[in-house]
Parts: sequence; C-alpha cells; structure tokens
Amino acid sequence: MSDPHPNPAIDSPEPAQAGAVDPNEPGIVRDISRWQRFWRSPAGMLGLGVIAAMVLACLGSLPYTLGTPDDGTGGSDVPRYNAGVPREGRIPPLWWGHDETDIRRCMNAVRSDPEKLPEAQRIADEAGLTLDEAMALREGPVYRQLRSLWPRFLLGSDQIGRSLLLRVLTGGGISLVIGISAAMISVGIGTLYGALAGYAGGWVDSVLMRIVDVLYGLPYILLVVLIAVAVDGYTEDRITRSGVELSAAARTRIDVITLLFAISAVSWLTLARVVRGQVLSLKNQPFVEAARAMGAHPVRIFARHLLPNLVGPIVVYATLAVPQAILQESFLSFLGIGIKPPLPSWGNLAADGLSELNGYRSNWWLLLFPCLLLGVTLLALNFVGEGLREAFDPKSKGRA
Amino acid sequence: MSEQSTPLLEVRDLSVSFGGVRAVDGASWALHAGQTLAIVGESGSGKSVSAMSVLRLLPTPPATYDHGEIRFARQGDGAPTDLLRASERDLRRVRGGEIAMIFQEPMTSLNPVYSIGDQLVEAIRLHRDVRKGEARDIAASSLETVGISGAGDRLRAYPHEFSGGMRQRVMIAMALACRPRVLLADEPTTALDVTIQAQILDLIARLRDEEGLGVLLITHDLGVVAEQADVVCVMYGGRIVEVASVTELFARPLHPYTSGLLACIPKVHERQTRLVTIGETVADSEAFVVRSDQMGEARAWWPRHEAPDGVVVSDAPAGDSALVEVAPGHWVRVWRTGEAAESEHRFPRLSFRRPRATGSREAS
Repeated sequence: MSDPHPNPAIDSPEPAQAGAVDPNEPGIVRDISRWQRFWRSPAGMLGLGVIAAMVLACLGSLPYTLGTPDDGTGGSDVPRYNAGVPREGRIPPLWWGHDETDIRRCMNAVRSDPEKLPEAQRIADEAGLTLDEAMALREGPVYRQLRSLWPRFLLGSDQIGRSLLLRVLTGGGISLVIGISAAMISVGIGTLYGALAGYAGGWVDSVLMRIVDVLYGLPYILLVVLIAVAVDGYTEDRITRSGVELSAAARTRIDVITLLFAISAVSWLTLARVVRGQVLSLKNQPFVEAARAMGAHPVRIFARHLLPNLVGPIVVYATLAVPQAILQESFLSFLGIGIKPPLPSWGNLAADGLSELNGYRSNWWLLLFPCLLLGVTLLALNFVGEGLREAFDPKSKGRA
Repeated sequence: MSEQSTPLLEVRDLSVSFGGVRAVDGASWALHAGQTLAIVGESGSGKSVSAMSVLRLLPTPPATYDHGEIRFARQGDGAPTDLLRASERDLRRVRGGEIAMIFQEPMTSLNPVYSIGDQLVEAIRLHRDVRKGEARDIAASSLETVGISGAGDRLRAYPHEFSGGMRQRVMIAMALACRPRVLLADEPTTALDVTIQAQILDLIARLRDEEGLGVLLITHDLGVVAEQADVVCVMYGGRIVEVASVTELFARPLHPYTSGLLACIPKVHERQTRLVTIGETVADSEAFVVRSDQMGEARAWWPRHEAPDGVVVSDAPAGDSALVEVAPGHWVRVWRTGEAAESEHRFPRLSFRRPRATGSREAS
C-alpha cells in the first residue's frame, strides 16, 4: 500500500540533521512573544472567542433585561427578566415540537389572555366554530391561525411565564461578573500572599501560613456565611443610621458585592498555598541562586525570575477559580445568602430547572439552557487557560 | 615566587556553621590575579560552602558566619574590603560585577522562561551602564568568546534548546560579560561528560590567561586539579589540611590524607587487582608524622585520631590544630603541640603560577 503523502523528513534526498535548526528557514516560527504565541493557539482563540461572545451577550443585554418594559400602559415597574404572567408558564421553546399537553397549555394561555381572546374568538367565528371546537383542532388553517397567537419564547418560559432567554442572559451577566471578578481577586491576593510567604521564608512564612491554616480549618461555607452576614449587617446598620432608603437596584448591587467579597475572601487560600510551594521550590533552583550571585536585587529576582515561572500554575488555577466561584455563587444563592430569587444567576436557574425534572413531565429546557451556557463558558475558560499555559511554557510546541 | 604580592581575594580563618555544626572551620587561602586556586576534598568537606561564603550566598539562617575575614581588593585599588561585613548593597555590586560565580548545574542555572539573550542582557545591565542594544552586542560577543557560533541567533534561543555543555558556556559568558576579576567555579564540570569537561576547563583557563582572571576552582577531581590548578588546597572535615603548589603537592604530599587521595587514583599503566580506598591509607596513625625541615617532627591533624599529648587548644577557630608552613610554600595542618603551638599565626598566600604552555598551544 503506497503512502499518498510521503513523509518529507524520510523521503527527501538530504535528510535534515536532527537538532540542526536553520533559523532562516521559512516557516519556522522563532522568537515570537508569549502573547503572540497565545494569539496563534487555536484552542485559546476559540475559548477566548466564546467567552467574549458570552460576556458581550450577557453583559451587553443587562441594560435591556434589567430595564422595565415600556408598553405604553406605563404601569409596570417590573424589570424584563422578571416580567411574566403565570398563564404563560412552562411553555417550551418555540422551535420545539409541541405535544398535546403543550398545545393545551398554549391554547389556554390564549384563552385566558384578555388581549388575545377576542382575536381567537374572531378566528373561531370565521370558521363557524365555537372557541372550544376551534381550540380542539390539531390541524388545518384554523389551527395554524390560532397557533400564531400562542406565546412565543425562544428558549421557553419558566413556571410563572418569564422568558428563560432573558433570565439566562441576566443570570449569565451576574454569574460571569461574580465568577471572573472573584477569581481575579482571589488570584491576586493568593499570588501575592503565597509568594511573599515563600520568598520571605523564616518567621514571616510561618506567621502567614499559620493564618492560612486557621482559615482553612474553618469550614469555608461558615466563613462565607459569616462574611456575608457581617457585611449585610454592616450595610443595614449604615442604612438605618443614615435614614436613606435604598432602591432595589442598589440592594442588588450590595448583594452582589458582598457575595464577591465573600467568595474571593475564602478562595485565595488554596492558591496561596500552591504559590508558596512553587516559590519555595523555585527559590532553591540554581538559576535563582545564579541571579543572586549575579548581584540582582531580591525584588528583581522575585519579579523577573520567580513570577514568570509561576504563570503556569497561576493561570491554571485562575481558569479553575472562575467556575469554582460561579458554582459557589450558585450554592450560596441556594442558601439564600447571595443572589436572591427574582434575580437570576446560572446557579439558581439550574437549581430551579432541576426541580422541574420529574417522571411525569420534564420541562427540560429550564435545566438544559442554564447548564449548557455554564458548561460552554467553563469549557471555553479551560481552553483559554490551556492556551495561556502553553504559550507561557517555552518548552511547549509552537516554537521551532 | 613572590609571596609578597597582594592577592585579589584572601580568606582568613573563615568559619561557617549551620545550626551549630561547623561546615568550614578556620579556612584560609588567597587567590592572585591570573591564578587558579583549586580546592579539593570529598563531599561535605566544606569546599562549596567556602566558595558560597565569599559572596555571602548562603541563606542565613541556617548558615552563620562565625569568624574570619574575606578581603577583596575592590576595583580602584583602595584598601581591601571585608566582604563578610560589607553591606548588602555593596555586596550586590561585587556579586557578578567583580566576583562572578558559575555553578555545578548548567541544566538548571538558567531561567527556563527567558531566552539566552534576555538573561545575558539582564546580567550585563545589572552592572554596566549600557543601553539594551549595546548590551545585546556585548552579549553576542561574549557568546562568541565562549565558543558559541552564530551568536546573533543563539541569543533568541531558550535554555532548553541548548545542551549541557552549551548552557555551561552560556553561564560562563554571563559570568564574564561584566568583566569580573575573580571567577568562582563551583564544580563547573561535574555534570558534564569528559570531552565537554575538557573544553569548558580549557575555556576557563584561556579566559584566565587573557583577562588576568583569578579563578577559584572547586572540584573533587584530582585529574582536573593536575591539569588546571596552580595552587591546591585540600580540605577535609571543614578544615584545610594541606596547601601547596600543584607541582609540590603531587610530587611530595605531606598530609596522609592527601597521599591517600592520590593513591586512590587508578593508574592506567599498573595492574591493580583492587582499587585503593582512603580508609586503607589513613588508618595508621604512625603515618601521620610529618618530618619538616622547619619544625622537626609534627603530628598531622586528623579528626579520627585521638589528639596527641600536649595539644594546646587556642582561641583560634580551628582550635587544636594549625596550618603551618612546614616547607617553603607547603602548608600542612598539624596538631598544636610543641613548635606548632608557638609558630606565629600566618596565612598561606601562595602566588605560584605554573608555566603557561602558550607556545605549544599556538603550535597545536
């Protein structure tokens, strides 16, 4: 069997010498910066693209979803993500095939909608049928006409008729803000703390790491609850003292910030330990000793020789910290500390969706879409992390 | 052999301990410009600690510098500075700038995340006030000096793309880029194979002769010592037991430990059924009598022997023993008895240099 694509390294008349790299040879990528290497990694770019799209969609739509619908009646002060009527509850995505139960739900939604009922009645009258007869039809022009009156939800609606699309977008915005900020804060604190402990060594190290041990010893949920409750109490106290009444939006903002603070306050501990361990082992590397023998200032050694070697573990941890923070956020929201119910997050949307799964009738979309978005985001984050790690590791491929 | 010329670097009575354990006890040696001083000894004899102490690179704690002086003639020939008491700031200027060091592990002595060029440029700019472009030119030319061709492209390579021998060359280039006057080479070739070892040692010797560099060569390889060294210090158990010029030491070892070391070298031309070990040669306490033209007879110091009667314990770091010049230019550590106790406290400052084979090098 002949190979249609002969290996040039084997078949070329002058086999290239192993290890002999001609830097002038075209096609060989040499001396490109780390960031350039990252921009060229397909997985990293894919991940970055997905995250960018997600952030853009979720955060970009926040002004819309958090805004109130201006329907001319002027009465509503319910933001769009929370607007819905129970009669339109549990409607599947509009592109999904509706079964008998769904059709009956939709027909009932039309029937109990005072704005759509006259139109439905007119359609039935024109066909010479009673409304009940018309709605019992499952095919034909009358059915199609009635069908156009059904409530339309791109991703379906939840139990009380709110659009899942808007809720998923809002929830995504909140989850992403909390996840990314908490991860960034915890990575910042953890890196500096761990590096300081590892680099300073001696009693400084002992004191700093004992503090971490103590914090580790406390159950982290307890810690988060304590922080959240403390911040809550503090803000309540300030509000009652100043006598200023806070708007719902301001309260939401305080909730989010509290949650952010609580999550980042506990999640830097692991990174501090990891970084300290890395610094301890790097500190004894001959190249650090060589830098000292070269007369480099300790700060310089730290910034130039230790930190860049920490990028790998830090990036990996950071990409894992984002999903972790998102998951913690959802858990805390579940406990009622974080994001409080009408306000969605991917976590509490998924929790709601899970309760809608049952043997009798599964409203699958309520679970699927929040989880899908969460999963895709986390996967994309991992791709970015992998791309960064590869780019910052000079031994990885992608170089000549 | 002018014993009076001022050494570049002189260590006097240096004692270093790690948590109460003396790693170096009363070491004294002197290094002159253009000279290679070899410190030999087995693992744990204190040779690396001596070298690290010169630049105070040992982490404190656990290390403590108990005693001694490290006199270094700074550039601009002022009075010698005591590096053991210099400020961190001054020390940083000396490190790399005036005294450079290369280490045993070329594989890990370079930072894996920076290119060779970046690291050379950093080293150069730490001590020389030059712009980046200039520093790069200096880096390229110092790579050429250590025999790495195509230096311009090599600057962009990363350490993992280099072999061990090349990395050690880079380390040497980096050490020499700031034109230091002393090079501390801590077992520079231990991790390399024999052919590369010879190249690296020849390179160091060439630079020593061209630049008038003082080289402190730490090794446990007597073959390397025989080829490279001018003056040899033999260390055992943290103390220097013998100091002599390389010719004198190999021709007439006076301390039984030194002769033991020499006896251990397998000989190519003789048939040996088993290799000699040190234990066989230094077990006999009778062998430790050193007959000296200057002080008659003395017992050479050996930690595993009981001290002879009449040992005088003095306040000096090495206490019960002293390094004594038993023949001109030949120092041996003996127990402090009789004449040894009274002999004045002096330090070996041999400026011996073996004849350089410049003619034959050019001919070959």
